Amino acid sequence: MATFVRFDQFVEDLAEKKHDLGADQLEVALTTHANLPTSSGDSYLADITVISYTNLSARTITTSSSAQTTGTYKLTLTDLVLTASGAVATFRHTVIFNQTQSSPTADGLIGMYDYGGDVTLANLETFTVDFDATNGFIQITSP
Amino acid sequence: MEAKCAPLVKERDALRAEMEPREKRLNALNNALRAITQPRKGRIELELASLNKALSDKVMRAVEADTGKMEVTS
Repeated sequence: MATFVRFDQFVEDLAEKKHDLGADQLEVALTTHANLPTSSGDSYLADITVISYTNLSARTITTSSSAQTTGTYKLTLTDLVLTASGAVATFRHTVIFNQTQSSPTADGLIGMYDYGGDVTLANLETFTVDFDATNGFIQITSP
Repeated sequence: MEAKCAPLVKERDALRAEMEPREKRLNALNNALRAITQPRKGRIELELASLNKALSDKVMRAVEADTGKMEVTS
């Protein structure tokens, strides 16, 4: 399982109501290992270098639920299947960002996952971002 | 009786003699056709097997996304 790496700025933006995780459109960005984002230095989509998305299907993520249970908030996302309609540029890291966020800067980075190796997709091949259906994409708790 | 059979036998032998080269030619044609179609069938089967393998080898890649957990402390 790929570890969730949170972008530091996300915590502040969340606290300062820059995100509405129940309503905003989340999206996936793809990067190479050479352009690996850093959780402390990169905060918004414009900070990172993404691959060309030519021949790749839509990268928007569907939110399944955004709710709390006994004080634990959970954001659950539907698995995203990216399908190639031709050769797609090599990538390795999957970055989740808020496509709706506009302030203080657009497209706030939330977290990222490392596939562990380069991915190249040929025509009709797929790459799935398999979100945890039980525990969700993120949880916020308070002891 | 011999006189009655003789022309029939003669006609039968003539027919047999006439048919023999045709049968040989028929067999030769069948063999030639088989020589053309069988390797082609074999090639098609090999291509199919190769395509099937390529399909089954096609990696359905996925990243299993772990849950990001944040704690609000006070």
